[in-house]
Amino acid sequence: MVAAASAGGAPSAPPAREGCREGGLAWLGVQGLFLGLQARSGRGFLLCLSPGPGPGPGSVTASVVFQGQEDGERRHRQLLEAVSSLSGRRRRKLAERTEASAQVSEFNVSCKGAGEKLVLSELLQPIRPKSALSNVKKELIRVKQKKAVELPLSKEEAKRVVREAAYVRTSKDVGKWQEVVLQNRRAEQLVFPLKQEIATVAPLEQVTSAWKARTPLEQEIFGLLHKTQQPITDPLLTPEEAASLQAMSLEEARQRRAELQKARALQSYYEAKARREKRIKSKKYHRVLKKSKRRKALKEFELLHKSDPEAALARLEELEQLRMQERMSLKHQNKGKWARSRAIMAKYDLEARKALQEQLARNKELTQKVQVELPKEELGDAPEEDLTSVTVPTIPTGAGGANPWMLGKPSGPAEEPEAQECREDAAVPGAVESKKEVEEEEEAEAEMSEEEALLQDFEQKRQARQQRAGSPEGHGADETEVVADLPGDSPMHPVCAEERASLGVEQPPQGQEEPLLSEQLGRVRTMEDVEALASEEHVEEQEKPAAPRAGKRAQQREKGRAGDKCDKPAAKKKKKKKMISLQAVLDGKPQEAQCPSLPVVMEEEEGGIDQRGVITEAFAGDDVVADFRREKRKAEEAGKPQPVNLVLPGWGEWGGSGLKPSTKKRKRFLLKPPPAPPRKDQHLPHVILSEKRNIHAAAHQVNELPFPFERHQQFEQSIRAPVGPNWNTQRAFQKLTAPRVITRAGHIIQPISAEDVPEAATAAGPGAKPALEIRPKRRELPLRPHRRAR
Amino acid sequence: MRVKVLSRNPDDYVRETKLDLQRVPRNYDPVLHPFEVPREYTRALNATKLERVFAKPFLSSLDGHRDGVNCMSKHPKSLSTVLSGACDGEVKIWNLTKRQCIRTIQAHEGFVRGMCTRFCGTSFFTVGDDKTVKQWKMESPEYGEEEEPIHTILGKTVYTGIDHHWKDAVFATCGHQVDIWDEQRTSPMCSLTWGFDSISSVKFNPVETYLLGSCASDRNIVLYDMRKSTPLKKVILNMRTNTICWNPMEAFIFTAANEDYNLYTFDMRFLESPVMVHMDHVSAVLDVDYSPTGKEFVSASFDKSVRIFPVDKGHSREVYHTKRMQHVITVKWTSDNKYILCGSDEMNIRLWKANASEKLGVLAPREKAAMNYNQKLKEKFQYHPKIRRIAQHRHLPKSIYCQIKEQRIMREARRRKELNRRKHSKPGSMPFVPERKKHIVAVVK
Repeated sequence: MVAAASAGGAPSAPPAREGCREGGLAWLGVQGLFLGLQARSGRGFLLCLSPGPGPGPGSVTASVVFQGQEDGERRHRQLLEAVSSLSGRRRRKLAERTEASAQVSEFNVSCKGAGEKLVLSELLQPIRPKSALSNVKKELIRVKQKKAVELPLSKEEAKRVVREAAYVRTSKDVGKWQEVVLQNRRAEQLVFPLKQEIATVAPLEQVTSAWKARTPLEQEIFGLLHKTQQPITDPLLTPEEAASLQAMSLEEARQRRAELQKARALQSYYEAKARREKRIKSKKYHRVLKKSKRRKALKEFELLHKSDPEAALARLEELEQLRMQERMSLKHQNKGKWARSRAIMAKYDLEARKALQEQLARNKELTQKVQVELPKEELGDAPEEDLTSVTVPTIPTGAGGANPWMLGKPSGPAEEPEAQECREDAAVPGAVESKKEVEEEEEAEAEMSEEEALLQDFEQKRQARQQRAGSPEGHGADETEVVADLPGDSPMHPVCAEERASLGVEQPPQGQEEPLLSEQLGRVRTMEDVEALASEEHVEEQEKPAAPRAGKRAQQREKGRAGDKCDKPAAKKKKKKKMISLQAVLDGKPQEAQCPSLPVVMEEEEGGIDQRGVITEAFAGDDVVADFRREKRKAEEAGKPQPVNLVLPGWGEWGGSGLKPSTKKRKRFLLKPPPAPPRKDQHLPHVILSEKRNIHAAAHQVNELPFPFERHQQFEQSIRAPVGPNWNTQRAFQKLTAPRVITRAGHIIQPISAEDVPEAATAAGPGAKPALEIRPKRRELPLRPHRRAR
Repeated sequence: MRVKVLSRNPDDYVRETKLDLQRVPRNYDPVLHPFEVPREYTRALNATKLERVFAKPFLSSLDGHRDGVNCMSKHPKSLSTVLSGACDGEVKIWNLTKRQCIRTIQAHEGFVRGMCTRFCGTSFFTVGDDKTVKQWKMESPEYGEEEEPIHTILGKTVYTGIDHHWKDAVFATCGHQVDIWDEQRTSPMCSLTWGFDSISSVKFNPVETYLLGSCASDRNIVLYDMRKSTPLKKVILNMRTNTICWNPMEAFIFTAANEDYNLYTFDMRFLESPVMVHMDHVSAVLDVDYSPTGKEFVSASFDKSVRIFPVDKGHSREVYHTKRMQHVITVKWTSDNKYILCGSDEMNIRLWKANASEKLGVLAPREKAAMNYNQKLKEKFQYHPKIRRIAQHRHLPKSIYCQIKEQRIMREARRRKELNRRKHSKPGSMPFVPERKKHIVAVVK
């Protein structure tokens, strides 16, 4: 369709335009041109163009009736001029005298209107060359200037141009997918189909309204249902319910639930408390309680009296009212059921009699009209309740904390005596340990509030300080333990250690000595080995003069190392030392004399300075050959299988510092491995062949860096990080093993379309990258050909 | 004295029901789990071996055609329906779940050259050697009704291929030229020509639906824009391209199946050189189809095998063949990315798993997790030689195996010759031509 529209289009316009130009010329040639302009309100003028007698197009005679303003007229004249100039020929206008004028010029110039002013711009108008041939000339010039019309492009070329333009445009259109494509290629995970249809649950009423009973059975059932007025399409929720569901958000609901919970907890707490108190049978307790309440009420009233006398007065009135009510009622008279039963019992029971008397006294008390002060002391039952309800919440506030009644136990007051105890204990440094343990147990048991913890912390620090001051040297070891016992977060800890160090209580700890000792044992062996090596060197010495020097160096090193060791039996050590030094001395002297480089230099000096001499002089100090020999020896040593030391000191015999395992045992448990196969460079004195590479393992190793990795460290790292569930948490495992592409069985995957593309991808610029990009470099399309599946 | 005892919350270790899994407390201390790399390596090796053990891709073969299967088409709305056209002009509609032919139409005289379904799935089009384009209903006719096409268009020349627009009621045929038809009209809306040669295949771009690609027997691939009804560009290769296929996820990427045993993936904006050359076939590649995820494609070849290539790799990851399968003419990747269908000369349509060792059916969550883990391990250790050897080992029919060897020798000889020539000529006179540029003859604007 599109093609048809475009093919059918492109109408040809040029001929119409040419026609237009001709028409324009012809328009001026119209003979019977009549132009009437009506003068309006003194501003306008009347212009009559009457058809002239001549046949030419320019034969227009104008009769102008001047009416008023000059500039209007001027404009008119200009218009006329312009019109006449269009015709090509210009005709001098003859001024026509329309009225008598005093000034008549001989040059055929009439001064129309004496007052008319001449404007300069009119004078400056160019004088036009007039020629009858001007038209022809113009044509000639135009013809001369104009080149030949280019031939239209060949069909092929025109098509090519169109194609190129279309291609550029299309590839630009297609290019807008670039970002999306790149993002999808880089994506850690893609889920297909891209357009995930969201499962929407249609309300039942919608479904049922759309559904119609068709089969006879269905119709029958529906008929039955309708007969019984069964609601079918009733909404499951009333509108109010739906509204309330909508109105209440989850957050609000949660908040409200929390509030309700809190209120319920509070309520149950008070209930429990009241029940508990009610259950207390102790009369003393109740007496004390009553008294305290009374006292409190009194105090309150006094306070009220001071702060707000009027309110106090009102209160008083109230109390008075209560009293009056009491008097009116028959509560405390001996008329009640209880009183009557008591009266019967009173004969035999002392208690009952007493109760009855009490009641009577009370009645008397109440019914008496008393002074103002009196009723304050003894309050009725009703106000008592009021008071409790007011006062109860004030009790827990004393415990402190944001939600005091939720705390398990108010530990504040309980802690204080302990702290005091601690302070007492601080005087006796020996008792601190046990105290500490108790404290720690306490800590483990009960959660302390922050303040308490702080307090305790300070306490501990103080104790530690005191102790240190008391016994700086005597309790060195204990102190360390004390310090160690302190909680880790106390800032005092490092300071303590420093102080201890500064005090000079420097005792190399016992624990560190043990490994040192065992190391020494190991080194004794190495020493022997070195000696054995030295003896070998003696043999080689004849061939190589430089070798002994190395031996000497090694020995000296050994000597230095031996010097460090302090626990060795002194005599033996001395002996060994002596031997070594002797050897060194013996070796050292001839070596100096035999050094081959020296005489060479001497010769060169004699002969003059040349290149070789300079080099030898420059490298006179170092002996490359000896270095190489040493290196090779070292490599050989390293290649030798090491004996395994399984000696356990103290196992099966006495152990301890200064004791070492018996030689028998050492012999038994020092496992000597079988000798290594002969080295490949055994007979190549100038070569070291490394035997580290394991051929058997090499077959399993990657021998070239795989493509997406740029450095071998990267690759090794990727291999080293385990992905399995043994090394990762469940969540991490799932994340690490998430598949690249997820498809769902039975779902048709449609080609990507603009709706599938998330907004972010299209909006993002060329530099934008997806959030998830962990891999070092994703493989993108321009890649080298890789491996094959044969 | 306080005695400390272990006390645990039963919620941490007691299952709610018997069907629940036992909760196993884990300690992730790395000291307790040493040798992570060797252990994972072993697991990867086992996973790779198991993958090979379970690699049984062939599901079934649909037989019933009486001549070679020449073309196939997927149903756009139904996964279980597939259509096929044979060389004797017969069209069959298959039900894949039942693996049965549900309808047979004698559509044309001579070959059914091409077929395509309408985007809505209600009808399909066929073109044949009898110079006709026919539109058929997807449903089988009612009882007593004649099996007749909805429309028949009689053309002047033979049509060799057909494809339907992905969104509009427009289809394109190819033959001597590319014609774009409105479904309602009997004459094409426009005809696109560029040069004179028979065009073997035309394909609409599934993403930018106004784009078309075609390949002709004068070795070129031509792109067209339907909006402007003009060709855009032409690229000429060394040998003839049999068919092309657009990537359904990447609008500007298409792959061409070439006679020179290779497939070429092009970016339509940069036709000077293909993005990737996919080589592994040992004979002409006859058909190619993208997986709906756009990550892989499958190719059918004259060498009696089907290969699956990742888009970004030069070599195939999988090769399918059976003893009886002859030259594979047409291949399709089903729209759920799970199966591959191939139609071959010996009248059968074969159904393969796209992932050879995949377990079909519903997986339990633990199974799925284990599968994912194994997949990850295989990916992680894929470069290790022993694992790679096992993962890449495929058994091939002798003909293909020998052909591969032979071609390797030929390639080596060519390389050596070039090397020698370079050695004995003036330095710089023999430029190195990358593999990607070797096969492009020219790009015509």
